[in-house]
Amino acid sequence: MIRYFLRSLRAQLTTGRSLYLLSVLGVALGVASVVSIRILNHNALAAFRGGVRAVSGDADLTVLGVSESFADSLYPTVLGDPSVASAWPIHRVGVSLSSAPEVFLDVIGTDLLGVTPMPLESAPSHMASGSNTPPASASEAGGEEAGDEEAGVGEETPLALAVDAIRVPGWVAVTPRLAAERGWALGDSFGVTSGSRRVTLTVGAVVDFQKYAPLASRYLAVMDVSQAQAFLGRSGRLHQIDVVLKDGTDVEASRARLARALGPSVRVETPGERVDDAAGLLGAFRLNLTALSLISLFVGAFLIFSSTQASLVRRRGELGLLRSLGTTRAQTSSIVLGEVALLGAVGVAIGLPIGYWAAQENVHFVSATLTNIYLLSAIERLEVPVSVFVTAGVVGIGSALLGAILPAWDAAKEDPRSLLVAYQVHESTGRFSGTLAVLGLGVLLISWSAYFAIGVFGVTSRYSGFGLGLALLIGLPLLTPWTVRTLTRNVPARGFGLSLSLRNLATRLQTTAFSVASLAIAVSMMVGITLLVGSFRETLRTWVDGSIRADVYVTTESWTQGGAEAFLTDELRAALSSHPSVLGVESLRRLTTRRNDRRLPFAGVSLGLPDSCYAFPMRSGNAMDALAALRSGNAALISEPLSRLTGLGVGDELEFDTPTGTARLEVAGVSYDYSTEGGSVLVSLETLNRLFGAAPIQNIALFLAPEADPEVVVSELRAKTAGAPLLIRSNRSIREEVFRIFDQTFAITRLLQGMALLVAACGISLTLLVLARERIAELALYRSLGAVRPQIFGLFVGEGLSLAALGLLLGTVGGLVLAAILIYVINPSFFGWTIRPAWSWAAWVEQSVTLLSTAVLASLYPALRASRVPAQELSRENL
Amino acid sequence: MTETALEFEHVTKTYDTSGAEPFRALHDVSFQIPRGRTVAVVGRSGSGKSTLLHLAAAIDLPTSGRVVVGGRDISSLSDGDRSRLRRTDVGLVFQFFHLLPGLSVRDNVVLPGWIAGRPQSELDRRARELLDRVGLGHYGARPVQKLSGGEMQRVAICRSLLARPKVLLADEPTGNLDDENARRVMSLLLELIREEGSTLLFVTHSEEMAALADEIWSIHSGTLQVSAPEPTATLTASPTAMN
Ligand SMILES: Nc1ncnc2c1ncn2[C@@H]1O[C@H](COP(=O)(O)OP(=O)(O)OP(=O)(O)O)[C@@H](O)[C@H]1O
Ligand SMILES: [Mg+2]
Repeated sequence: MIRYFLRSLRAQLTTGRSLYLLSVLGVALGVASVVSIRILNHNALAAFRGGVRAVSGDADLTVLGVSESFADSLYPTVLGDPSVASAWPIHRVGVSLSSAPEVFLDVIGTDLLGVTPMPLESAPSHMASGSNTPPASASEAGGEEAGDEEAGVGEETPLALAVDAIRVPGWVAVTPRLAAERGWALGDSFGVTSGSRRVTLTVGAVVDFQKYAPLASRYLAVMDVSQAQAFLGRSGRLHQIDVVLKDGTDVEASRARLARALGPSVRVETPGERVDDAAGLLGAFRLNLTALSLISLFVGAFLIFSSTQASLVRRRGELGLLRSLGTTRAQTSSIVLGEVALLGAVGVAIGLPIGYWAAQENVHFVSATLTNIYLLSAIERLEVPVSVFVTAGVVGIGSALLGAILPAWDAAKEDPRSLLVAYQVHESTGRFSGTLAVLGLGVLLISWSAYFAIGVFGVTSRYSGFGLGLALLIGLPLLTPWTVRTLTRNVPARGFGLSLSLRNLATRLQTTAFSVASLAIAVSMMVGITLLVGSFRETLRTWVDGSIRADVYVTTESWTQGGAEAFLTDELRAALSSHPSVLGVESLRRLTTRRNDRRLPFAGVSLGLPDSCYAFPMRSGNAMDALAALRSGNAALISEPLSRLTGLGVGDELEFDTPTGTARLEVAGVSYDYSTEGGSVLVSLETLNRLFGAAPIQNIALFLAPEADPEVVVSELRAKTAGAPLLIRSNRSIREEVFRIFDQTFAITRLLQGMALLVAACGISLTLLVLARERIAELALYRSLGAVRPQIFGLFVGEGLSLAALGLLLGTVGGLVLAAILIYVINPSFFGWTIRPAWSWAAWVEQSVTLLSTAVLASLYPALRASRVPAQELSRENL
Repeated sequence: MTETALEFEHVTKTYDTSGAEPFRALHDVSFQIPRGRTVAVVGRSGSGKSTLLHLAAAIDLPTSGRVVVGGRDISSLSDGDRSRLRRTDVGLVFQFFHLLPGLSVRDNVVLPGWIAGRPQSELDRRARELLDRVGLGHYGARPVQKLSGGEMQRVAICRSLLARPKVLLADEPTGNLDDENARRVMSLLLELIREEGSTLLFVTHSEEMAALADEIWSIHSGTLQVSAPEPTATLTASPTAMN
């Protein structure tokens, strides 16, 4: 048996090489799509964890402000606690490089003379030459050649470095990778901006976090805490205090005691909680990725399933022969399963690197989303968790085996004779197609009734939408054979062309139904996601039109990462508002506070302009009443997602933390807001300053005289404030920016759509190759009846096109349903946004054309093979 | 002199067998078959009968010598031209019928017409005429896989005659039928050939069937022998074949 197994494997590899390769490729692509998304998903959080590890090291507890920063007078209180072994203060500011404003440094200002975990090192002068290797200990802080120096010679001690850090103005330690990337050597200076301030920093040392926190960002930098406060942030304020407890301390008790001693302006957290917090923040985003990876898993598994099915249908005759020669059922089944498991394993081995590569190629999109939207650290390098290997193995080999169960059972059947006739399989598939369709309808009906029944009884689960989606993905393939049969069987065959191609699909239902089903799933995914993203984009456009009303927006280069420290000075504000075309100025201050464990972004707006300047897009409540309430100082406007998450409506009370304790405001209205998924709160600037203490503003919006040209005013304002690191943008360019970020956020979906298309192409090629083999006699018959090669070629391309067209038809229907589930069920329960569906014919036509052209391309090789079948084959093969 | 439907001139066919010496399936075969004549070819399994028919159908090319079908030397034709020659000049009937299971009886009969791109109305008329003739007039819309063996072969005969070919080639047309059905199909085939004025070259293992033909030739390891040459036949078998 083993001998037969090896022989037949070799025979398959030599005779059906392209078929075997395609099956393996199918498995590999399926595995790759799952692997890539899983890797990205894992690393979205791993990057944050790496950042925490790099900065806080082995700290047991971290003190953080409830909103942004807190008074540094709390630091001695922390040190005074009897259980605290050591603690270090951190003033943390995101600054923008002057030479490249889109590059942000995450500056950690800390007490370098104290007990800090910062691995400062003096570096060789040639570190700027591009090597990423951590500085060798045998190196010198000076300028001479390093390398042939003895170990220890010329090395600056950590103490000496720390003294420098305090003594030298603008002293900063950067990571070796960043230094290499920017071409910095020790002693080099570079400019950064924090809000509207410009500061020059000097590279005084290297700090290689990646040595012990491999995922830490290369954009971390370290400087003295007082310097960071004075030059980049605000004196007297801290963002964080990391605490190491004495051995054997009860962490919970110390934490409670610290929290009590420090008062309401801070919270005390463990590193685990901080990661959980980021996980919560990223929840919806990661859920999105998880959902995508589940879909890709399904599509991948389906492709694998149908690849194995197809290759086994072809070998039915051979298996029948084995059976009639006396092999037992168990032997036949184990041959089939063994072969398929091997195929799966090879596919997994190829799929893993492809998946890693795809993740690598797309990581910048995910990374950009993390930094743009969630203000978390970028993904520096990809870590592949062991679970990915396990998933890949289970998915690849598991679905291959699943795909082999039916054929293996079929091969072990009672009567080996029936196996010898290929046509009979297709016949019986045809007979079963009705039953399968009823089963598919049943799955759909049951899932929808269950969904509505659950709704009626009030037991809503956030995950019920996934149940519906899964039912769709199961139901659609079950409906496929019947649909294909019904649509193609009654096509009047008129001549040797497309109609005959269509008829042929019905004749070989077993093979074709699988490929149409996997196409339909792939197309559903493409159409569903495109529809969701397109609808979201249209909704966003409407919202942006209503809510971005000022003519010019001004902020600073470092505003996205700089938080409260990226402020605009009063002088600049005055300079900008004094432009003759400026009629009104609106100031904005942002901060993030908390309510229980939820982050709560607040925006304080000055609200000093005429009422007509404010048109809040209201979901409930009246815009003018809300404006009046906000101005009165005791009310807040909350966003739709927040209203959904908390269940708060107009007239309810919103509770939240402030540095002085819990505060309450009345909800004056609920507005549409697509800027944050966790929800946000809008109050008057006065209210914000009253509740959280006064601080400078970060953004201003200018309303211009009607006759002024915004673009001209923008350039005049830029000229007027030349030298200040400001971002002055017209209404139009800010809209463009919004959509640029939107498109970047959803770019990852394109990876999956590309994969789906590849999978579809693979499926078509595979099916047609199998058909070309199954139908050698039929093709020889055409040839002997006078068909020329181009005719056979055309017939096959026609069959490929017909497969794609059927998949497109079923997939479009499936995609519409999937989009409805995404928009109306999954989105409200996880994001809480109102999305208005928008169907785009252009997008659909584009996808259809892409799919059909892919189908034609995928048909070329099988068609060529088919057209080369000689008429002599006829005397050898039976139809 | 009557028109020649099919002519072989010193035809030799060898097959490349991997490794070993090339295998000679036909050796110096020469003959002419005039229009309207029926010839049976008999011979042991592996003697080269199917090879002979493949060459006659322009499906394969001779290694040396000339095969002339409908007045044209097939070696001088491209693959496409040989295909087109089969559309007009050659009809084929096979032992295993080779009907397409997805198509109806009528569609199977008109299939060669579709390939040749002929108008549907003309094809429908011709198919009805042929099916009526073989007694399957009311079976046109039936799925072909529901028919009996004899019925299937009758459908295949209709298909082969659709384009009124000059030569009909049949490889063991009754090999898959019981005696009763074999006799019925064979006599029907011969009747139709006479009516259509076509030429028939068929391979058979049955002496009874062979006896129905005008001539019986036998083939031994690639060498053709004419067992009952009739004076009317303009047969110029090669000297080797005569021995
Ligand atoms: N493509 C080929 N390559 C190699 N050898 C071939 C090929 N086709 C036929 N042969 C050999 O040529 C010889 C004649 O074959 P052919 O099919 O003409 O025999 P046949 O007389 O039709 O036999 P049967 O009555 O069994 O059908 C056989 O020995 C066969 O093995
Ligand atoms: Mg033969």
